Amino acid sequence: MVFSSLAFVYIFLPICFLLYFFVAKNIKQCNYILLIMSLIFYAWGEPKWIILMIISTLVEYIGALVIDKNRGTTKAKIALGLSVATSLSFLFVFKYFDFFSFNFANIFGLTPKLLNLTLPIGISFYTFQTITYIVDVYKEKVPVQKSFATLLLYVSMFPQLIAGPIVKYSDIEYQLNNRKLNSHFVGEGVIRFLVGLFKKIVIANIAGEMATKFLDSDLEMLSFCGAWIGILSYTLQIYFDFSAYSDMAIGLGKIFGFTYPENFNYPYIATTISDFWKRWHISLTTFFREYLYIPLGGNRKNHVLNLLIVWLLTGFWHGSAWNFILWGLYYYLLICIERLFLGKLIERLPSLFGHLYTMFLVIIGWVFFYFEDMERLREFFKILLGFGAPEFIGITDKAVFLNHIVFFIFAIIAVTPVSRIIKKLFIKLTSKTDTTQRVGDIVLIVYSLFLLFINTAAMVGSTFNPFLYFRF
Amino acid sequence: MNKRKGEHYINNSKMSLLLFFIFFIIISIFLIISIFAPEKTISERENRTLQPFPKPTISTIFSGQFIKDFETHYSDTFPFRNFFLDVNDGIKKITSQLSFGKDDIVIYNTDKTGDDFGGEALEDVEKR
Repeated sequence: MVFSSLAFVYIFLPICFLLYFFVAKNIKQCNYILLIMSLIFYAWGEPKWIILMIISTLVEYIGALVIDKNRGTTKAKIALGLSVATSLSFLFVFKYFDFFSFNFANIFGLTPKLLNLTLPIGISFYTFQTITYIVDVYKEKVPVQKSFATLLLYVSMFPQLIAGPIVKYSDIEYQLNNRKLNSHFVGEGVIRFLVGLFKKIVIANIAGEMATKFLDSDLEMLSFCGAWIGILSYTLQIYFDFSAYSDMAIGLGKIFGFTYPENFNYPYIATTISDFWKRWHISLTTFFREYLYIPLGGNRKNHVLNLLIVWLLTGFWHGSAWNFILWGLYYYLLICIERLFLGKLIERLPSLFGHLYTMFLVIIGWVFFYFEDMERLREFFKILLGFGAPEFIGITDKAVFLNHIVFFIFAIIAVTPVSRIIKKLFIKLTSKTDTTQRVGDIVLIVYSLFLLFINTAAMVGSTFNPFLYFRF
Repeated sequence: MNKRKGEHYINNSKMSLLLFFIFFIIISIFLIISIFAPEKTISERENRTLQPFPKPTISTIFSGQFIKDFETHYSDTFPFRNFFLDVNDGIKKITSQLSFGKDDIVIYNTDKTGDDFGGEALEDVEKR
């Protein structure tokens, strides 16, 4: 099931809220309801492989119990290693086996054996989450979780299961059994969810239509401007799409009383690439830093090599193809150069330079990310950098761009913290007296209902499926 | 005022609950309407038959086909569907994906061709 569907908002959510807020009598019952609803949510989209998620959790659950009973012995170390390896092997088989098989076979001229398995939804996320659990138990950062149901709730919780943020077990452990109903959170969570939904089905979808129009087109006919409009649209799409999922996850979590960490912090206003990566998919970089980079030695030994491993894996985590590895390598090189001297240099220049420098490189980065086909990747780069395009701008390119100029302006403003400034202004203006506070709250309610209205129309609109007879 | 980032930007906790409650009531009303509304089988606007409630069998559930058809059925029979399609047209007008011509003819910018919409050329229809 996806958040941006009518069935989720208008069937799943009302039932979930009814059971959670009006049927459950204590936190234990609330958790059971959340668990059952989360399993239904997952099975809805993935009826076959829900069992894999449960088994993966069970492996870490048992592993953690063994570690807890045998602290300080080799047995604990073995339990840790085996459990992590088992979960990672599931991920490997479903996501990466075909890639390795195909490339291995190509090197030796053999026919590749491919499994052609569809990737179970969320496996990249829940695998990492179970790993944070068992590693943190081993490090004695958190107590072992004796209740399998509670652990399974942590892993499968529907707000963050499908597309993150990657929530560390230690971040949420206390909240699992100790959160209280927070009246402020319930309403603010609704707003956050509706804002995220708007970002996804209105902004990201429109940007996405334009991106595919140019990026999936016949590259021999693609103009220079067409290529740039296409990749700019994709740059917008991927931000709004991904940050929207995090918004919706955080909003939904908030409704149920959970506070998840933020995952995005206006990444497109970054002034260096290093800064960009402190603002983009924060939960992933945090995971890799804490559970891979630092255990490998971090800054202290082999740090150039450690950084390379982390970046290659960051890229590879996003997709099982060479272009994603290239994408990771691309950022590795940029970060190294920045750490060596470029970063300090840019800080001395006026910040406008930093913004332009970063955005240019990020946009180029998305080219690697988008084109899995190496031929198309090469072709597209040529056009983007000014070679080989049949023309500067095509006739339809101009029309499409001008048709969407309002959209582009709005979307570009929306990637900046203008919304945060507006929010601060709004709070400042309305917090002065009780009456203004009341007015402010009413405005927020009206705003939310307006968003719900627009979002519903957009969701219905995306199911518009006319059958046209063409009369000539 | 001790406000952490993102915390308590709804001032009054009761208003916050009200917001949630309104949201909950609205989505629940839609659910109830869709359960009790009379069967809709065709869409004049879209010139097709609407997806009926699919038959749940072991194989269709396991393969995901039942769920897929169910979601299509649900969105096809969503309360006030035509009204929301109108609103969506309005949104598209603002974001300039649609142009409106004379005589209420809608020019829909799309890369799809007649084949994608399952259209038949008139001569093929006449041959049948």
